[in-house]
Amino acid sequence: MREYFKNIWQTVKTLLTGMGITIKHLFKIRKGNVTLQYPEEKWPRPDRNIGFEPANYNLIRSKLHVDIEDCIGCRKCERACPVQCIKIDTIKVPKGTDLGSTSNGTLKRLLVPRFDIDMTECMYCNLCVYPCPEDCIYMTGGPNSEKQPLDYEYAQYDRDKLIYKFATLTKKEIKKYTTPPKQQELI
Amino acid sequence: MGFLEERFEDNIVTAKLDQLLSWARSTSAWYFQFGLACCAIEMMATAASRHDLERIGMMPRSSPRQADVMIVAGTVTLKMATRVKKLYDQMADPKYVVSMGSCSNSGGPYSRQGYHVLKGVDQVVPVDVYVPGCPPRPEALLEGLIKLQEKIKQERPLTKKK
Repeated sequence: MREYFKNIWQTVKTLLTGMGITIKHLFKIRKGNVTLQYPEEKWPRPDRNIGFEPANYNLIRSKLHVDIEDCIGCRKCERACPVQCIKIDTIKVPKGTDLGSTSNGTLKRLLVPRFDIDMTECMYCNLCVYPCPEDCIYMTGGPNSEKQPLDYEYAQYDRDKLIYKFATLTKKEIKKYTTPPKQQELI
Repeated sequence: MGFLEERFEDNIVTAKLDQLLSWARSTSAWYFQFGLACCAIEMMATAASRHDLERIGMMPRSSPRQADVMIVAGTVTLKMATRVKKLYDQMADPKYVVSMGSCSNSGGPYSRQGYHVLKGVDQVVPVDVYVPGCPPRPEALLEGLIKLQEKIKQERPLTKKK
């Protein structure tokens, strides 16, 4: 009989001890916890030495961005891309047409009606960034975080939404630039 | 399709039951534990204690019969594509597919030159969420899975489709 009640007491006591530890952890959950509460806090960008100057190298595989106002349509990034995920179309304009200049001061000579980057195919090798003479294509974040904030979370329900179209030219503008200046006077 | 699914008219009881069901489905989406290439390493990192996947109710299951979500992590070769299709068919309804990484989104680096790679896993199974990256960081995968949860929450399983 005594043994029976002793067993019951043992059960209750050990249960309460275990639950006490659980409750203690419940209240100090934020202290010394390795798990990141994802949408609120994120893992910081790693700062390790990998043989490059950290300022020159983007360690995070993030989204590509193009400043289309600075693009001169030289297609160097398209040629450098190992997976051919960048697609550029250019149109020649008649002599004497003023297309403005880039932020580096280079005169623009070609119209860029199409600048598509297929981010589903991109393998984030950063090779398109180096040949660009105007520094207009770059990966977001890292050294470019002043121009574009870091962005590597852009999941979509539809694959077509992952093809980014950077060109902003409308058909009207293309027609305006491609008509020779003599005809423009007539109009 | 399940026993009760898409059998009821739209009324106040089924609307509330729908909400409850889709909420329950979204917060206990167990995923099928299989990886095809390097994206699987990143999936393991997401499931590990730093970016705990069980925090959002996702638990690895080793059998397709018990899983709700299939995370296609990695290069789907033509040989593996038949297996992926078979595994998808073995999963019980409701089932969802997350395509993770460039390779399973559209072939990725193999999209032009690869003779042995399926150009996008959506050619064999219907994909719900595309997670870009090569491979995606754990945060990117988590964001994709949270997007999938939002999609499941919008579903109305019991009501008849018009």
